[in-house]
Amino acid sequence: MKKSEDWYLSPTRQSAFAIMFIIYRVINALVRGFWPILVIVLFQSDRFSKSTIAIGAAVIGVVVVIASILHYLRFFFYLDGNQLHVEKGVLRRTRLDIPIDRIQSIALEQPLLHRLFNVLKVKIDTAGSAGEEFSFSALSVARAETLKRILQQEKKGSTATMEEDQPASQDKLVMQLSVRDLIKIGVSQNHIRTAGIILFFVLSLGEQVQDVVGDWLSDRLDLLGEILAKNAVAMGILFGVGIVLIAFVGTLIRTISRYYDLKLWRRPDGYRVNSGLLNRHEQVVAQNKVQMLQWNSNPIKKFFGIVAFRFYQASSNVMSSAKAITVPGCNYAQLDQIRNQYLGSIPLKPTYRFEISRKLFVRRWFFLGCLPSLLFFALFILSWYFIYFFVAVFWVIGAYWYQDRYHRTWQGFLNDRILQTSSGVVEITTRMLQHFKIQGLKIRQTPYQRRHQIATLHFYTASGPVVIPYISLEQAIHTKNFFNYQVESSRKPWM
Amino acid sequence: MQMPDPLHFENNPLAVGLLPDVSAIEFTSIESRYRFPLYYSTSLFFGIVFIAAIIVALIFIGITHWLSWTLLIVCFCLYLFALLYAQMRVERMKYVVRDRDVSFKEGVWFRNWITIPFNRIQHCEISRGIFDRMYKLAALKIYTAGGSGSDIAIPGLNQEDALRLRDFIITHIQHLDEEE
Repeated sequence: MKKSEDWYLSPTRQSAFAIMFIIYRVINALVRGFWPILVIVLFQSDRFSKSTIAIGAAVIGVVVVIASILHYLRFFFYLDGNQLHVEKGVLRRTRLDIPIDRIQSIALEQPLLHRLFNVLKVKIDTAGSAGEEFSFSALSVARAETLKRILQQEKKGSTATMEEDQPASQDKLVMQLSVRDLIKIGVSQNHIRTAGIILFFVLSLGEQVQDVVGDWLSDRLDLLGEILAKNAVAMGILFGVGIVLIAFVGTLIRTISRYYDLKLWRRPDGYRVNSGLLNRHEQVVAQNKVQMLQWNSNPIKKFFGIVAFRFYQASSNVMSSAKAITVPGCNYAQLDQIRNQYLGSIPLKPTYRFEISRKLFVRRWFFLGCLPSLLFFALFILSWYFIYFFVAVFWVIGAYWYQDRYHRTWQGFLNDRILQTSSGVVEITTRMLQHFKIQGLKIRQTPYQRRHQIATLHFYTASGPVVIPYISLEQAIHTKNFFNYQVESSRKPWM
Repeated sequence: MQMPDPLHFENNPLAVGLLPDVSAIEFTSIESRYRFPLYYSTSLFFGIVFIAAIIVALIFIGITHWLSWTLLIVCFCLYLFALLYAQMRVERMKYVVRDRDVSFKEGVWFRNWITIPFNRIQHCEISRGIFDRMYKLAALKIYTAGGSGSDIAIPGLNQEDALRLRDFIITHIQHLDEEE
């Protein structure tokens, strides 16, 4: 091999463009950490003279640039045998030695700025207790792709096949999303959750801003408050509608920008997903790294005839959505196709169905429905405010409906190859996994469950647990023995 | 132990009566003297609680006030309960190592029973605290890729037993790897 092709064997720096991204990252971190100070300086600019601000900004700017350049110069990486070494740090030198077979995934990303300079961002994730995630700010396209290819080859060891070298054109397109699909998907997302997040964010931001800006803003807010108070009901409704509208539009925009032109490809050894409007993401997952398949449905999704699904990979951060390949929406035929491709000839028909005990419903309704309701009723008796009475009644009925529906929608079954559970009230989540992906099993009993000879069964996988609540103890033990046997007699590597 | 032919079982997955039954296996209790290290660490913790309680009683409430005495008595009752609880925990901790898996049962209030197949173990670790060393005890920790929920920590093993178990498990894992 020529020397220029062996660059990765000796300590190598990132692309020089990386300096820019490091500067950006440092400024980003500074702004995030010190934005209250920034706000004070901006709002109370009369306290500081203009020249003080200018000099301060210049000093900080120079320090940031020098630190970034030093950071760039002191950052090396190279491959040695079966380890990826990274040396970094200006004052405190850190050296990472990452065994290549511990690397879970290598993601190449090209955000907008990276595209301008034709460089790639490389993210490397490792599993295991160390849980180190690691990324290169910028590598030239050629180097990033070489690195990815070599790491993937090394991972396979001596049995490396040529599959990795096959051009991407060998991949078969499974499905892609049009803008119309994306609008449907955006509409059917969980808006209540988004609204909650926005509300929480607005409230906490309001508090923080008040802490920082103090009188200047709070005077103006008080004025606003007075105006609001005069029309409290109208404003309340307007505020609620506003939040829901923002959530709705926000999710729609987010969905379209995140999943724009999503394409799911079937590779010889796994799957590849490309998506994104401004940031193009590419995620690759190997078939044998997939631990679990999950799909979600809700009434709106059902109306449009779509489901969202995910491939879960083994991850140091169990159940992290970043390690999952997400397709936000596809129709049922596509879901079937993907499932069949993933499982091969494995039958999907249940041979045994789990029945969860009605006791779960009774117990949860009692503790989460009746007890809080009693509390509100007591408040009503003490205060004679009818609002408490209505809350008490609605709570107990609502909780009955909620728990009853949870109990009715819960489903779980197994056959000789897979285990599948579905649960939820409005949003129904289904998880499916192959027996040999199970890492450990646990039977758990509370004193109440012990008295009634029932138990909760936990299946642990490398991408999170699957739980079957409140089945009979005998059934739990039989199932546990069955899966123990299935895992212990399986010769298939789980990843 | 000779495992039955997998193909046979794949066709009859619910012939559960034929499957090896974990519950029929005798579990081994951990060493009962493990309660002493637990007593010590509990006492250490409650020693600090007592000192804090006494300071509060002397400085903030006044030693003659009934509240001070109630506070100290409550602390003492909690301490006795914690000792009793430690004793019960030790009695409930049981484990069994079989040819192909390791199981651990524990819990006074909430009972857990975890089983990890050997071919899913990532690594083992032996840890010995100060009080453990006084009683020549060790804890065997077994890790999987399934997150902390499915990891097992068996405390209160004889040091030699812990080492032997670890070696047994490690060689078995390697043996299984070679089979594959």
